[in-house]
Amino acid sequence: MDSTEDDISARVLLRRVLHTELPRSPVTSSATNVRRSMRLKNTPGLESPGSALRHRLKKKLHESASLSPLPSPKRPRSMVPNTNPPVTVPSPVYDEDMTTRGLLRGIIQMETEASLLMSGQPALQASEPNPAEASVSSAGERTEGLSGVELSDLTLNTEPLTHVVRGLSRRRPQRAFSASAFEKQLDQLPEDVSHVSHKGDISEEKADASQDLDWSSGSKSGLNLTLKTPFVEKRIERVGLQRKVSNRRLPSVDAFDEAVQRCLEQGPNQDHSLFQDGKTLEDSSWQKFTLCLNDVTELYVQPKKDDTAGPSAEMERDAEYEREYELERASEIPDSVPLIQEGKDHELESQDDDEEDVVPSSQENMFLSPEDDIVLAPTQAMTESLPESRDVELQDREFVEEVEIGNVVEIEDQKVVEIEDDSIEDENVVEDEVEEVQDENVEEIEDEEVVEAEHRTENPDTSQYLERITRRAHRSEGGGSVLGIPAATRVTKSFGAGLNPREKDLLDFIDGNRDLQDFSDEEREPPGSPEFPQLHPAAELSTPEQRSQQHEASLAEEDVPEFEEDDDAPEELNQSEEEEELMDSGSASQSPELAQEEEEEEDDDDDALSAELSVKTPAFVRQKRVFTSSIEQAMPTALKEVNAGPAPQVAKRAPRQKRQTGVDVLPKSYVMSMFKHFAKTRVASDIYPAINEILKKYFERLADDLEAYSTHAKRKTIEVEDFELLMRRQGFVTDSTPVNILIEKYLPLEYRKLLIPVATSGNKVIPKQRR
Amino acid sequence: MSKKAPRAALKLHMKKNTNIRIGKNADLMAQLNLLVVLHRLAEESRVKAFEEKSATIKVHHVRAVAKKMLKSTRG
Repeated sequence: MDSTEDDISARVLLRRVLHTELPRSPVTSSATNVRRSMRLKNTPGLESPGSALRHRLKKKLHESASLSPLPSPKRPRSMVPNTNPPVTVPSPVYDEDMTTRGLLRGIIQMETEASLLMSGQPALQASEPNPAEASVSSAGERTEGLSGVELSDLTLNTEPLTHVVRGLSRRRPQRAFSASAFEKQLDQLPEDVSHVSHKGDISEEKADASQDLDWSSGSKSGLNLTLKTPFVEKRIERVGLQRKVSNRRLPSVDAFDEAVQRCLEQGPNQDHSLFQDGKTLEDSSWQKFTLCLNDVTELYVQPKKDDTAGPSAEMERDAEYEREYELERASEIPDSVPLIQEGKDHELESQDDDEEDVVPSSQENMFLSPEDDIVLAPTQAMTESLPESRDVELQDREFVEEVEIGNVVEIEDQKVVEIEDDSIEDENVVEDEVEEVQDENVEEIEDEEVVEAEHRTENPDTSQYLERITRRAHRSEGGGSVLGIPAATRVTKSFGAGLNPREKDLLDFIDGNRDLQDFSDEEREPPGSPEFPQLHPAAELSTPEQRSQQHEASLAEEDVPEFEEDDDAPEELNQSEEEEELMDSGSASQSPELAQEEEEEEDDDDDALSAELSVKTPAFVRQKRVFTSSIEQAMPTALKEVNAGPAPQVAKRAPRQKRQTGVDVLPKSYVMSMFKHFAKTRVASDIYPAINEILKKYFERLADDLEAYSTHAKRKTIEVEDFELLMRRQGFVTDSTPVNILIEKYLPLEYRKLLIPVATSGNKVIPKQRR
Repeated sequence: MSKKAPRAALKLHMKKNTNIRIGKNADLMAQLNLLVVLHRLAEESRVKAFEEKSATIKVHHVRAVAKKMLKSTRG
């Protein structure tokens, strides 16, 4: 101190003041405010990362400022109060900090920290307040004084930043994990739900969990690369989106065939209800019989064909087929099929042979899918060409072969198969004639050869085809079988026919097919029998044994109608027997037997014809055969009638032919019901014919009158007004009873609507009144 | 009564010998006509049967009535 009392400089005074005041923490608004703010800030949770950082920084500063590092920096709050009192020395510093300079410094520091740590987020702050503080504190320890503080600040800034950064680095990915994991967790409700919710605090845990989740869920986050497929995740969530293999059970070929057969049969069977039973039976049997090799595609084709081939088509085809057959056999297969079908439908249409062919073909067609029809077509043709040739042997054989081989949808196959079968059968057959015939057929028909080669391969197909054909044949035969010949028998006959006259062939074929079928098919009943309602009884006897018997019987029967030659019967019988014996594969034996018989019968038939016939289509032959057989049974002389429709077809045709001459007035049921209703008393049932006659006359007169009325009105069509006039003249309608009354009285509602104009909304009148 | 009327058969009858055409709903009228006629026929024959004191309508009843009917509904 200077002695000069007077000369106390301001500086000295200030110094004294400072010295004296130093120990006292000057009460400054800022300081107080700071304290308060500190307290306020510290008491609550982290208000904000920035603020938290600032607090931390301040603490560090305080710590650094004070030589004695503050213990337990973990407690910023506690430290704050602690720091406050002890920081008397640093208080000024703090105060200074609070002062403009300090504030500036703090700002600078804090900004950096804050900026750096801003991304850190509260989580980081929260999670790492301690480590940060620790680092800070450590940093603070290292630093000394302002410079140290500054350095420490830097270090603090840096260290904590690094720490923070590290934490961030950890956190961020964690966060990423958490985010991704969170998402995943969201997706996967059951799993990892507990952890996901938490954020930064549990970031580490979450990270692990999320990682786990990621791993388990196929880690969406890039950090976790797992090999797990995303499906794992989706599995639980969206079941519908799962790629599941449809649990369709592949239907067995046989089953499919059966189904197809049924469908096919049902389709064409619309007209011939009779056949349906047989068909279904046959189909089932066929199915069983058919080898697994049956082409599925063929099956597919069949239904389509069947659908398309309606009875009308059949009829048309049959007619066509019949005509064409004579011209071309082989090529007519497709035609023959329709022809055959037609034949079935129209008894009259077909000639004796044609009819037979038609019948069997039609019948067969009905059962068989278009393929069958095709097959039948040739048979028909064949039969047609060989009216006399009853030897359906070849045909039958073919049928049989086909049966053996399986249902070959395509006619060609059938033919070929048939040929092969026949050839095969022929081979088996001892008879040379048969073989020769067959051979001839084979030779003549190139396909046969091919078929032979293919026969083996196509066995399944052909068998199917054969089956089909045989079925058709049976069906056609069925018509004939109505006569009582079991289908089987017919088949045998057909076999015997072989190359013999088409009819024979057809029949034989049909029979043979049936036999073959029976043989080949364990369960198959004579195809003809089930097909034809007439043959039903025969079908019932479908056991192979029975078949053989039936064959004999049918042969005999068929032969009679089919072959007016008496030889047929015994031959056929023999054939059937032989066939059975010779049927190595079942059908083969039959065919040769039949072939033999047929051959014998085919005295008149040309070998070529027969060969062709046999080759062409067993179905065709079958139909013929069936037809003939049926004819034999029913009307030995009237082959035509038989042709009309073997089995049910025959039955239908026969009455149809007869009935055609008769006039079908209104249906009896309708008329009688009306009459009874009006009569109100009991009515004798035999009144119907009388009423019919009356109505017939009435209608004639009615037509004339109406025509007169229309002409009078210079119209060319009879209209309702004509009728009104008529009724008026008749006395039914008078001024008091308008026509509408009568309409309402008598006609059903639907008709009433049509006649009586009804006004509807929208100024519309129903029916439309044209003025 | 509300049975399906065989429109096709009726149409066939009406067009039997001639080539004339039938209008759209004309066959319905024909149906109506047929019903009416049948009704009348039944009535007449029932009456006839009563005359003979038989509960059921026999053929001869109907026949006897038929001629008269055809004549009356001549138009």
